[in-house]
Parts: sequence; C-alpha cells; structure tokens
Amino acid sequence: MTLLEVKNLNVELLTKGGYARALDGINLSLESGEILGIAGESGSGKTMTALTLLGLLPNHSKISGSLKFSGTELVGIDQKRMRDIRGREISMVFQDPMTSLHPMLSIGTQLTEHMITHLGLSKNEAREKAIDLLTEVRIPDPQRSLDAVPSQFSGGMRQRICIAMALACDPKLLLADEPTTALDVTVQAGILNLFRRLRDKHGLSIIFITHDLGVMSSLTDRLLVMYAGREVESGKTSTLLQNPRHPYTRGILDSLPDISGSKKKLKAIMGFPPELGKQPLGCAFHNRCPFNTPQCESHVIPLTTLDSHHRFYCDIDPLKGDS
Amino acid sequence: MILEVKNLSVTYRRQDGAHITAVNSVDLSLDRGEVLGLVGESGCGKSTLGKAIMGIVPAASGTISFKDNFVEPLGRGSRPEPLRALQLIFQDPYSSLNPRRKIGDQLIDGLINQGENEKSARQYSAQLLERVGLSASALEKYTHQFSGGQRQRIAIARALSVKPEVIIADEPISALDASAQAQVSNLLLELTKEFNLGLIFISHDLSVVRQITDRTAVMYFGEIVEIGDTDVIWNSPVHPYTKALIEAVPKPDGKGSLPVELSGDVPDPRFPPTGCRFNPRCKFRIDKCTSEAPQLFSINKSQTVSCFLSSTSKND
Amino acid sequence: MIKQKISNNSPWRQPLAIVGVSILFIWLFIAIFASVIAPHDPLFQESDILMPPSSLHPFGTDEVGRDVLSRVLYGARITLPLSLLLVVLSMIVGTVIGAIAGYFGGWIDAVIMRITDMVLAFPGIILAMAVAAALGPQLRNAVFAVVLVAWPTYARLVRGLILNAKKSDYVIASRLLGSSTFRTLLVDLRPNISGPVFVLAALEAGNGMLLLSGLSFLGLGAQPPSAEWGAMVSAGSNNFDRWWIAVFPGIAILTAVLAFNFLGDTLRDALDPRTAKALRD
Repeated sequence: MTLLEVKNLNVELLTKGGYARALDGINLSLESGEILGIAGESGSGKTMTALTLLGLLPNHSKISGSLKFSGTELVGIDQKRMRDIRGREISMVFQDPMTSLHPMLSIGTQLTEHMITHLGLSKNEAREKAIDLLTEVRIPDPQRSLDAVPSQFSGGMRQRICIAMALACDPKLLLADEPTTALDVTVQAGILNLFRRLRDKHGLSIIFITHDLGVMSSLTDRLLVMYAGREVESGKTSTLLQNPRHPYTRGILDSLPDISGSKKKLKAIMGFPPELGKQPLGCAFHNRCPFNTPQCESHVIPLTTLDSHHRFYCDIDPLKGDS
Repeated sequence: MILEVKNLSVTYRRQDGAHITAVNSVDLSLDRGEVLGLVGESGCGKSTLGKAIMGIVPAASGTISFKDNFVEPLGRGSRPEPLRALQLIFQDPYSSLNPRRKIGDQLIDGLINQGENEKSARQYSAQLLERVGLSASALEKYTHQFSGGQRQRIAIARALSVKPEVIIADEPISALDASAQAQVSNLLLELTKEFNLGLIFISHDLSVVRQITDRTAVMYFGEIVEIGDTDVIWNSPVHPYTKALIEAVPKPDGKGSLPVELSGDVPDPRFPPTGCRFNPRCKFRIDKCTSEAPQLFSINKSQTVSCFLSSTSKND
Repeated sequence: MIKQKISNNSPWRQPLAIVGVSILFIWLFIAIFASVIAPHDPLFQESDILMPPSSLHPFGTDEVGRDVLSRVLYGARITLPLSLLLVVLSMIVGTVIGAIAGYFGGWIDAVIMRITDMVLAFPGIILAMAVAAALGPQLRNAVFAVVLVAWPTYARLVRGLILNAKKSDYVIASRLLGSSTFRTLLVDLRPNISGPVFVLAALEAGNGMLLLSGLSFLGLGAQPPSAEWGAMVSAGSNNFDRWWIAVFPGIAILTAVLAFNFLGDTLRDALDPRTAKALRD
C-alpha cells in the first residue's frame, strides 16, 4: 500500500532577496514498511523535504504540488489537522538528541506526556507503555531509566530515547534527519540495527535523511539523491549504488574513502553547490561536472528512466555508454 | 624521529570532584613526512592526547620531545620559538578563527611574533591562502564571509605561516560537508608531502584514516590498544576493539548488510574496569582479562597490540 | 570607532536615536559657541536680583543678579567635558583592571573582584560623597570620586568578556603561534570587548553626569561662582519660591542625561542587531 505520494512538490522560501526556490519538482512515493533514504549535502533540500512533510515550513513560504499521506492531501491542509497528523501519524527524530529532550525533566515525564494528551491513556497505562518502548529501543533497566534525566545517558542512549519518544503514538511514518551523524560508528551501528528491527517487526515506514552513503547502503530499500533542491537520481539502493548513472552520484561515491583500499588521495568533487534561488534552468551540477557540455546549463534536463525503480536527470552520452 | 611521546598521562578533576585519567601512559613517535592516524570512540582521550602533545593541557606525567626540546605547557609567557613549529588544526573552524579580526591580521600573527615586518608577512600570507585554494583577497575579509570548508583552509594556512614541522589535526573534517571533507583531507595530505611535515590526524572517521594515513593508533579508554602500519592494522586487526570498530563502519556497496553492533558503552571513567579496560564489551574475554591488564606487545614488525589473545597466539 | 553601514532599518534611524544624537549635538554647539549665544556674562551680577523670566532675562536672574539663561548655556562648557572626562577615565581604569583580572585569573582575579564587590555594595552617591568630602570640595576631586565609584561596572563587564574569550580556540591558536600575553590581550581580545564597553560607557555617561551634578548640588563639587548645573540647582533650592533658578539648569541636566541614555541604547542595538531587531519587531 502506498503510504506517501509526493507529486511535483515545489517550495519557495522568503529570503532577503525575495522568494527562492528550495524544492523544485520533487516526486517520491513510499510504501508502508519501506525505508527510503534521501541523500545530499547541506543545502540540497533533504531537510526541507522533511520539514514540508511535517508542515513545519517557515512563515510566508509558498508551496505547490501534491503531498498525499495515507489518502489525505497535506498541501493546503488546515493547521489544526496538520498538528494532529504530526503528533500521531508522522513523527521525527533529529540529529542532536539534546535539542529534542528537555534537560530537566525525567525521561518518564517526557515519554508519557505525549501518550496522555494524544492517546488519552491514564498515567499508569502510559507508564506501562513507556517501559515497553524503552525495552523496544533497548535501554537497559527501563523501569529505573524512567526516573532519570537525559544527562545521565550517553549520546547513543539519548538518541534511542528520542526514537522511543517518536514511537510513542504508534506513527505510520518516521522521519529521521541525520540521526546518527553525531554518533560514533559503533553506536551508529546499534541505531541502524534498531531502525531495521522497527521496520521488520512493526512495518514502520521510515524516511532516513543523511549524507552518508555507507549508512544508506546498509539500511535503506530505496534511495533519492538530491542536489540544489532537485532530484538528481533515484532507485533501489542496491542498483543505484552499484550502478550510479548521474555524474553527481558517481562523484560522491568516488569521493568516499574506500575502507578496503590502500593509501591514496580522495577524489573530491571540486567547487561548491549553487546558492539557494540561483539554480540554473538546466542541470544545477553542471559547473562541477566532468562531463559538462554547453547545453547542460541552458536546457531543461529530461528524466531518463531505466526501469520502474531507477531514474535520473542527465542526458549526456558518455554515461549512457558505460555502465 | 621528530616527535616522541613517552609514558604520557593526563588527569583532570571533573566538576563533580572526581579525578579522571583521560590519557594513560601513552607512547607515540612520529617521523617527518609521516601521517599517523589516531582513532577511537568519543571520550577515548584522543583529543586530549593531541592537546597534551601541543601543551594546551598539562601532562600529569611523561615527556613529549619535539626535535631537541621538551614541550612545556602554555604558560603566561610567549611560547618558546622552537615549539612554534608544532601546530594544531582545531575541529571547529568557526571557533578557531576570531570573528572580529580580518583574516589577514590573523594570518600574520605568527610571523609578526617572529619579528617579520608586516608587509612581507602579508605577502607570504597571500601566497599561503592561494596555496590552500583561496584567493588572496580573503586577507581583507572576515570569517563570516566563508563556508566551513573555506574556514578550515584558512586555519590550515595560519598553521603553515610559521613553517611548522609537525601538525596535529584534531578532527579537522568532522564539522564539514561531505565534499569539503574530501577536499580538506586531500589538502592536508598534499601539504605533508610538500613541506615534509609530520601529521597526526585525529578522527573518528575510520575510512578517512584508513585512506590517508601511514600508521594508525587505536585508542580505547585513554590507552593505545593497537598501533602499527595502516594497511596491516586494517587488513588484519588483532585487538577485538579494532575489529569491532572496523566492522561497525557501514560500506556503500549497495549490498544492504547492516554494520555489526558493538554492545555496551565506554565505561564510567570514575570506575575503570579491572584488568583489560575493554573486557566488559569484549566477545573474546577470558578469565585473565578481568584480573590482569595486558601490555602493548609487538606481534610482528609492523603491529603492536595490547591483548592476551595476541600474545597467546604468538606463544603457540 | 564603529564601522557600521547605516541602512534604512538601522538603529541609527530610529526616533529615539535621532532625538538623542540631536540633543547632544545641540549641547555640543552651545558649549562651543556659548560666548556668542549667551546674552550676558554668566558671572556678571546685576542689581536686579531674583527677577522672574522676562524679555531681558528669559530665564530670570538668580540670588546675586546673574542671568540664568547665560549661566545654563555656559554650564554646558563645564558639565559636558567633565562628564566625558569621567566616562573616559572610568572606562580606561575599569577596562584595564577587568582585563588583568580576567586574563590572569587566580589570586589576582580574586583580589580585584572582592574590591569591586566592596565598591558596588555601597550606594554610589554615598561613597562618592565620602571620597569627595575627604579630598576636599573641589570639582577635580568630585570627578575623581565619581571615577572611583564608576570603574567596577566596567571591570566586571570586561572580566566576564575576557574570561569567555580567553578559553576560545582562536586565542589558543594565537598563543600557539607565539603571541605574548600582552599581544593576545591587545590584538585578539580587544576587538571582542570594545563594542560592549563603548555601549556601557554611553549608558553610564548619564549616570556619571547625574552623580557629578549630585555632588555639586551637595556642595562637594563645583564651587561658586562657577556655572555648573548641579551647583545651580542647589542654589535654586535655597529659594523655593523662585522656581526659575533651579528648574532651568535641572532641565539642562535632564535633557543631557536622556540624550546619553538614548545614544547608549542605540549603540547597543547597532552592535547587537539580533536583540535589537527582536525588540523592534
């Protein structure tokens, strides 16, 4: 069943210099029980996509297109209804667990508060459920942890608590914005395993946002690569990473250090992405692309579809030949 | 050998009054032109070790010799001139540059301190900026006009201004964007060759360390648990902690295999485990591990490990 | 001093700023051209004593027949430069002491901070009175007394700023490059403290002027026959029914103090655009 269907989503933000396009014609869909990865560097629009889904765009933003979440159109929905959906059906986990946890309140208070207001549980029922949730995310000694404050936990444990909070109202969709970027690899491995388990066990749909393609590879089913507010390539994670077609995707994969290789320089993509609102009509990556042709900047790049799962926005020949 | 650290320990008193040993009798050495990676989870003491080598935090015991001098902690006086060839790149390029001074004024500090006149110091700074990939016009600008990656380049240019012989880079890329990460690590690698520098690259990003370093030291709970040639360490790690670290790195191969989880947390520094510090999290723990602390031990020409398993396998 | 592009939305374009700056410029103009503007000699005693305002003496005359308007105008020459002098002096003294405390820390810091605590614990006017009385009633001593009361505010501010800044990575980086203690203070820390200190100085200028006028009012500052505003208010208080003697110099003090405060607020907004914008929106 399709849980989320985004069609031609455009978002314009009000900046000092007028309106600037932050998201440009985004299409994506998500089945229930699927993990979709959104990859890109900062400013690529990956976080903006999540904020749009949550209805948390800054004031005076313009939004157009369609955003259907389990049958409900979210574009133009009234604020009160959106708040309901945000609390119960879509929830979010952020990069820094300390920004979503109150430092002075006990874990128990913070966990149960939501359940009491949104689900109408009694205090005891909520506490029971909180213990279940903490067990689920593998917090040792959940009973006692309920009375502890966030500072008594390590960074990884805090992120697990944030995930427990996000799960409190049994959401259908979980948005995770760089939830492991601030963590050590060993801790990250644990959190990735937790996300996978939540999907397998409860059929939770997850949109996972990160710039780390290694993380994407191990966790996600499908991948959407974004650049300067646009989609550049999307497809099944395995095909996309093994056979990337867009020069940008290739570029970031090449720039990654190879854990099995020997000492050598990294292949960096030179230059910088365009500023917000300064994307050209054609390919936004043209000025950093090794296959750049004069037409790349000036004409609208058509979508090339390889099969129902793999598609990309690039039409230069050197790529079509070698794959 | 240009830098030699012997038996270095760093202790400090936490705000709650507890005495914490952040670095515990560490030995390290570095040659000119060599890149040494220092890896470990956060809180393992790698950053503190870097700062202690620089003299920013005082050592509780042990010595740090740089060329023919002992590194002394930064005091009230100016840093002795020979020690200025030992420089640090900070993790956060936002806080390591003064937001209220022009880039040019900050870059010439080191040369002015060595008695250079301002004009030639500025000329040299302009050259350095161009060398790290920025335009000389940056001299007249302020930090807020630059991105994180560009600021880190400026910080590198500043360190280069005093003609350093050893640079310690403390997580120099972890605050940067993916594409800037590769650019800045490449720049550091090029500079070590060009200026024949020794570089200590402190990072929690194992794959970068794997790719750009000659030797790797793995730290756990204030101690070096394994050190040796990068290729050897990564292809045939011996210490269970090193193995766990490598297994935890997700690989972008599209195969969909989840990284292996290392259970448990770094222990509370107030109550260090007895015996091997890693034993509570170790999959291969034997009785001896809880009672006796293993010593660093050369298992072959290019690999030194502190683990009983390595010595037993050698004795067999 | 402060390079700030003045845009349409700049704090310098806000009404209070314009009023404050204009008043100060008017007083500055008066101080410079007092001899041209003033209708009479401020010290000349006419036979018409205690005359109410008239066309000949718009602000009336005082108890010895001097023209109050001329005395108020000439008073700007005494009060304004002295206020500036005492602000600059207390700023320098406070900044240097605060910088030493903040940068060196340890027992030096402890001793200096206990002294500032002691000074701040007294009501300013009482301490200033005690000092001025002990040194002898003279304008110079009054200025000295006010400085003695005013410096701890600057010292505390600067110490706090330095304590924050000296642990920052950029100061450590500068030390690693061999910068001496003095150079770090001068080159690295000065730009970070100068803004807040100037703001404080502008805000404190009004206070300093009030204190100084207060001392003169109490007879511990300017001495007769000098045309100091505080001393003139004091003289007026001996003749309650002749309101003009005290009211006009009082208004002079009021406008100057207000103008300094407006200027201080504006300066703060200009240097810290975030809070300023939040306040205006």
